Amino acid sequence: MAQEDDEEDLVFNVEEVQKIVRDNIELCLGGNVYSHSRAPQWITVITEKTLARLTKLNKPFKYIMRMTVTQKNGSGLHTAAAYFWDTATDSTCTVRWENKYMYCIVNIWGLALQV
Amino acid sequence: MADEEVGEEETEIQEAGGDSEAAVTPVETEKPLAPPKYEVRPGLGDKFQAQNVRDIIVSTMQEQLLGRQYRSDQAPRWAKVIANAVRQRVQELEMKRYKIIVQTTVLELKGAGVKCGQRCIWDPETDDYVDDLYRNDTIYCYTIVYGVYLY
Repeated sequence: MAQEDDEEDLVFNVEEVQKIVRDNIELCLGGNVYSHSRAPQWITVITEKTLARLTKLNKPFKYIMRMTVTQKNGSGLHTAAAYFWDTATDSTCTVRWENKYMYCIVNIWGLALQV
Repeated sequence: MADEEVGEEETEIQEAGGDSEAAVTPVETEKPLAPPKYEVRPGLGDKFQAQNVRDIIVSTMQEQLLGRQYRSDQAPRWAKVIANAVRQRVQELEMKRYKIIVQTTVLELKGAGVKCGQRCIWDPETDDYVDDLYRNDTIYCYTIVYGVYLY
């Protein structure tokens, strides 16, 4: 029984995390227009709220969360990532969100604390 | 005849004996698995090499993007190539017990406003990140490398 709990704990639950992130983004960005001066504040609020909820899940993970907010302008943005980690326990979660005025991309990486 | 045979047998046995001796020594040099050390901090020489990683990032981005103009069909490929190349070269630094994450973003400079932010929940004494950017007339490339220690 204890072992089963440990195995559940050690999995990075992607869907749960995505849901948390989407809720926070909706709450904060909603129908707003992109504003250069307010964007850092939005980013701060969303990242801190999301990480607070992630830590409440009490899983043995280290988290890295990165958020990008871009104005809709027709310009191109491409991202690539490469990892050197333990594929069994570590995972990534990406959420793309948009409204009429901006794009929001959130990356969360969960790295297990133990082998 | 018998002597010769005996002699041959003896030499064979000796050779076999020599083989078995040779076979034994590798087994002797195999040590049993060391007990776990519970080291929660990297050794003095094993910390995340921030300056070396920064040099790798800068040189890789310059190699790939110097003199190029943004092209929407090529940009995803450039991003992948840069990320993989940086990851490969950081692995060659052989920082023990560090997990590496590399993220490359390639942007077209068209006047759009972009803001990025990050937060990490980790151990600041062992974990670190390095980032850098490359800019020319049409391309803005930002690469960040995280190193996270595995206890």
